[in-house]
Amino acid sequence: MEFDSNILEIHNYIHALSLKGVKIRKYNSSTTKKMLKEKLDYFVNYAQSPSIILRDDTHVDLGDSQSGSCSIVIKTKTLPIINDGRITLVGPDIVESTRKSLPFGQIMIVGGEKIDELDYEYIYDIQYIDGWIRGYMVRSMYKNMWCRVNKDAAQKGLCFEIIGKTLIDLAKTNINEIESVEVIFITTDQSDMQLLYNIDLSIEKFLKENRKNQLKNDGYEIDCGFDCQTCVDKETCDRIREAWKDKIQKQNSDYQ
Amino acid sequence: MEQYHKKKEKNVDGYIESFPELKEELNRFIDDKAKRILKALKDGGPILGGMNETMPEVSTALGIASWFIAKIQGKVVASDQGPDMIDRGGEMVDSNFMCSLIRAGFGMIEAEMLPRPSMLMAATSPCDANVMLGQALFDYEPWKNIPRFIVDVPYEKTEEHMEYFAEQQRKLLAFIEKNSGKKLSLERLKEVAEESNKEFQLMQELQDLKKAVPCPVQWNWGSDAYYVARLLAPGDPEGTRFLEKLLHVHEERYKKGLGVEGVEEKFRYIWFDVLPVFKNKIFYRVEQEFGGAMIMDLYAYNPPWTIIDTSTEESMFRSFARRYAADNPMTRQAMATMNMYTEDIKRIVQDFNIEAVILPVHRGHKDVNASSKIIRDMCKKIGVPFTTIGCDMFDERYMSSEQIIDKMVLFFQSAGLI
Repeated sequence: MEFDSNILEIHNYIHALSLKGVKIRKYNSSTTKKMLKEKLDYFVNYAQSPSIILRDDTHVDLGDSQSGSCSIVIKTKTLPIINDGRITLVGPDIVESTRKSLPFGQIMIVGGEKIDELDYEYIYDIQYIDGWIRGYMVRSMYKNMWCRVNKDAAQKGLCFEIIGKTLIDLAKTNINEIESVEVIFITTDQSDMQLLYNIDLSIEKFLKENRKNQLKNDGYEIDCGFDCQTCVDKETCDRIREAWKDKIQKQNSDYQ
Repeated sequence: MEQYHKKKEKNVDGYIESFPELKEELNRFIDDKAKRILKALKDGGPILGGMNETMPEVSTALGIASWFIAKIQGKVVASDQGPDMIDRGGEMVDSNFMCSLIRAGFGMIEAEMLPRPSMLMAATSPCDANVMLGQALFDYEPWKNIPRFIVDVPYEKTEEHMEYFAEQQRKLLAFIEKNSGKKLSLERLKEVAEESNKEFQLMQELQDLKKAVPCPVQWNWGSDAYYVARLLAPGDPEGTRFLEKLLHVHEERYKKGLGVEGVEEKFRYIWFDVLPVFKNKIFYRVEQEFGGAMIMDLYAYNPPWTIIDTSTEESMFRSFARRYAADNPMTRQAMATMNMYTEDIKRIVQDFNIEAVILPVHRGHKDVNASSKIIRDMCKKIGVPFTTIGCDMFDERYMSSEQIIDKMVLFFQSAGLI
């Protein structure tokens, strides 16, 4: 399976962070306490309408351009390596945030025996839950996620346990083939997300290959790579670029 | 500039813009920029003539006049001189298939319509035609002694490529310093970068409001905000003040649950490319007659932008590089694999409640023409109606605004939106 080693890498990484003394909390979405149930009833917006949080109403921005963000979805058929229903939080929770913005990493690990039968891009979209939680706005973008929590939601106790549980429930409800889901949030430091950025690169490569295969299945003729690094014509392109760079450098040097 | 205003008045017949006082302010930015160029021409001051909009904050930081060719081309093709310039350029390059904006650029060089710069900057982005136009400017005999610099924009966006591009930006700054006789302190660049960050954050906030149904932001303001933050007043407190005002008036409408004044929003669509120069004849009518709210165009879309990290000199140049290569509209989509284009459209459709996608497939944008089937397939997958138009964004003679509207209406009807 493509991502099994990445999943193990993430679990080992979180373990290493805990050994370093980083605050890590783990919740289990299947054992919902009464208080949390009441909160879920309040926060989950089944009408699912796009949310807008104005700057003056903002309690905290998660993963804004300054603080850094990374959001990934990893799939596997190897169910035993997923801690189904587990929500892990590395770093401060929403109400504990003393800053106006926090770095934000969101990892979803999803598993199912028949998961390979699904289009990965379809699975990939389950990470975007804008409009499903009151007081929580998701600014989605290709490869990143910038979320915003409003003051009222923070005051009423919106926390990552609720966001994680909503992600897990929505993933399982909307896609029958998903049997297990684990969610990890990282809000500590941008440097703690380096591993995610690296995994994200391998996911991107997979997505591109996936896209290429899909297009081929749809009848497109594709005779090049979807990624320059793996393209068979890379050497030719690189040679042209080098010649071009030399030409530009020569021309520029006359005026430097 | 006079020609442009004259034509513009003709175009606005029957067209009402939300917040006309803000539009007036925006026009003042344009006039001020033109005046700065005229003053520099008169006084012999430095003028940077640019083929792309990479690191525009430098001109602000150094206080030098600058022009960006595409915006002058845009103004000229929107004026009465537009068709002549397009034809003149077409004869020069012996082609009617090249983008009409670029053809007009060739015509303008020959007609000596561009203000003589004291230094020229070209770039290898976002398209081949633009690179050709840069070469034509470099080869233009009367300007052969003007110092010039080519910014090499990498196609890929890896850290290694961004490092290379950041180095290009440093060299560009050194080139501008040398040829303007002005030295830029790191502190001043930092100050301007931080101001620019504020502008981009305001653009992002404005974009968020477009999620609202009805949408309180009229179709023109997204790309106009880009225009201010990126071209007219980048890193300038005046630009921030304008964007703050623009955001404030729209936030007020949103809080009251109001859409665009005088518009009863019935459906929402995107036009994912540059806006045509005769845009006022299209989107206003669709809005008024059919209740179609045009929510997003290529230049209005904030992915969002990279914030310039001002902690060190290195981080600053690195983020300037990423901001241009990975975020700047058209460069972002055209200098990347198809995934970028399809993903951007998908995210907009899902986040902004979009009910129809229009890909205008401007005849100069060969990359978009080539990708339209892939985008169509993607839209089909996510269940949003899609169509192409096949117009020329800068030359109404090719397809008139009436014909474009007819095509749009037919599409909206077949999609069950009207």
